[in-house]
Amino acid sequence: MLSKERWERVETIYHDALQRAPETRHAFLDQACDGDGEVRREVDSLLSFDGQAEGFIETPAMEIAARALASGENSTSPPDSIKNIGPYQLLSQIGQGGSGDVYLAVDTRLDRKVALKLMAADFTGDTERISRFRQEARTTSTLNHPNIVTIFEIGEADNRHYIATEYVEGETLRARLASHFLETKETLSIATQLVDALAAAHDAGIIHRDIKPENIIVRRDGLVKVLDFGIAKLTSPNANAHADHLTTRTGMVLGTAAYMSPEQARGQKVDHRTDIFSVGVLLFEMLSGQKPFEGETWSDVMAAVLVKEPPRLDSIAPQVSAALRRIVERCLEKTPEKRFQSAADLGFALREFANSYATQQVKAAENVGLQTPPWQTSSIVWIAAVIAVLVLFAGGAWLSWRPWAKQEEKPATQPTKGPGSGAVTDTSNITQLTWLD
Amino acid sequence: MQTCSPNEITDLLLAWNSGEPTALERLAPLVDAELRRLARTYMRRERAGHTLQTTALINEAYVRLIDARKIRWQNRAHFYGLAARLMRRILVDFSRERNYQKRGGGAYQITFDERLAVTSTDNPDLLALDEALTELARVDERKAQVVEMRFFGGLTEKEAAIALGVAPETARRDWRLAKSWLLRKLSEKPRC
Repeated sequence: MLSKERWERVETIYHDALQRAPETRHAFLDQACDGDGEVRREVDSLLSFDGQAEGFIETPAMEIAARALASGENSTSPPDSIKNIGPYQLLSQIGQGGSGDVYLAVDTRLDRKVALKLMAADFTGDTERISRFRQEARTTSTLNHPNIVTIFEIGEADNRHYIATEYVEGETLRARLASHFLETKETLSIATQLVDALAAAHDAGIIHRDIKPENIIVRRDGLVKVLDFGIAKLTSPNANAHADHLTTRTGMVLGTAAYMSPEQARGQKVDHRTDIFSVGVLLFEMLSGQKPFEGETWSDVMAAVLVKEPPRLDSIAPQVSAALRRIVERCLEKTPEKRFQSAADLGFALREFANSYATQQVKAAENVGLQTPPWQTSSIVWIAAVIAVLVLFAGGAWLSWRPWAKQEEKPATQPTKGPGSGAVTDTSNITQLTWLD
Repeated sequence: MQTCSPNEITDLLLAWNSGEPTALERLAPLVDAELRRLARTYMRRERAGHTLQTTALINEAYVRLIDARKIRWQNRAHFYGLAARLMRRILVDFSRERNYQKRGGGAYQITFDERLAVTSTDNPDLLALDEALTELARVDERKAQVVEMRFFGGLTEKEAAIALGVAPETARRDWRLAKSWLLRKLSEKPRC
């Protein structure tokens, strides 16, 4: 266990790090922890949970207990009747979806863990919901791809409809985005896998239509799994007609506003290129930590998607090179004709960029110590230079700021002038170091 | 159905604090009754398809349990802390009892590992959380108190700050760090 003094230090650094933009945190932590590996590991580890902790314990315990009681005493779904569904033994609820709850369960025949999506008992009479629920399963089960969650079985037992899928242990991209800044390399890895999954789906005539960080799970080993083809629509000519009428009623707008393509936001007919737009939104967010289209309300976001041009990516994420920026911009074109015309094309462009990026990194590493003018080599050297400047100034700041570190009770009182502050005049790259104003 | 005025509950709570051994035994059924009333309200409204005003319901439950007027001249902060600790104890006992009943003899035994692996952030396991909170108290007692007051005691950030005699900003920071700490604890694989 950490000593009291070091725990206090962890606390101060943790809160200061949260005040900073994700992309500057790494450099900040380097200097703030000042070589204390134990403190650094503790802060890093706690920060990685901060993003996921948002909703955690925000519901009072009394309510959790009362709800548990309510679900147990509710005569329509007594706990014993949903402890077993057909061959599945339910262990615990792991999620809630539009059409039903998701449980971690064990398939007793094979003794393997599955995610069991169970349609709410109250809706067994709702034929539209049932069709939709089953359609989701049918749609996904036609796909067989390492980056798409596998469907094991669709069934009905004790009047409850269920879908059993592979159980993926990992965190959603939403949680990952919230907990830490994604490196370009990680972003490219996630994006190429996502695009591969979409290319396979599009080939099978299936559009996802709801690509968003909540629907992407990143496993610990980095493998990406795309979830929830819940509102996917079959587009091939021989696709089931009933699927069509369920999901494409005129004017029915599904999906999440910020990730929707303009044509989807209008409720118009969409094709596979709507997914390419959503990937563009995701790429933008992964690279900059910011969504390209934002607004106070749902309709403001929709309006932004329809008419506004996204901010220039390199204006908010200077590390993004021109080539990568153009890829993102091409995904985010308002008219589908101007975007990448297929997920495969987008995948090709991403891979090509990833290769040149990797080569650049190697070169940049080799160039360290050689006398190459930094401005001509690559953006990597640029970034390295900026970080070096950051560390230098931050180091100075740390020295001047340290005496305040223990005044944890008065976090609002930020020292505005320190001995090193005069040195920071017009270096726009370090504006994040706000305490040096 | 047992009924009891907030006045009596407050008296019992104060008796519990002064070491009266039977006070807890008499208090627990009252909290339990309130919990059941709350649960019934959830069921009724959920069946009717109404959106739940959960905050209002919870507040109502606490008001019914605790008569704040009674303790105006008492040490109010101390009382809040006490009420939170009591709620924690009763709710954790309640969860333990329910888990035990649910599993029953011969049923599939959920291993410790699985129980932790599937603790969702929205619906944490009260037993695991209680254990983690006890550990947090060893590292940083005030943070554990903030969680006890807010999560188990249903206090707002501001109320918890007043009760602990710290600035609201401090209570906010304590809460945020404690949440990450606890979530990490719950995500850890047990050593075995």
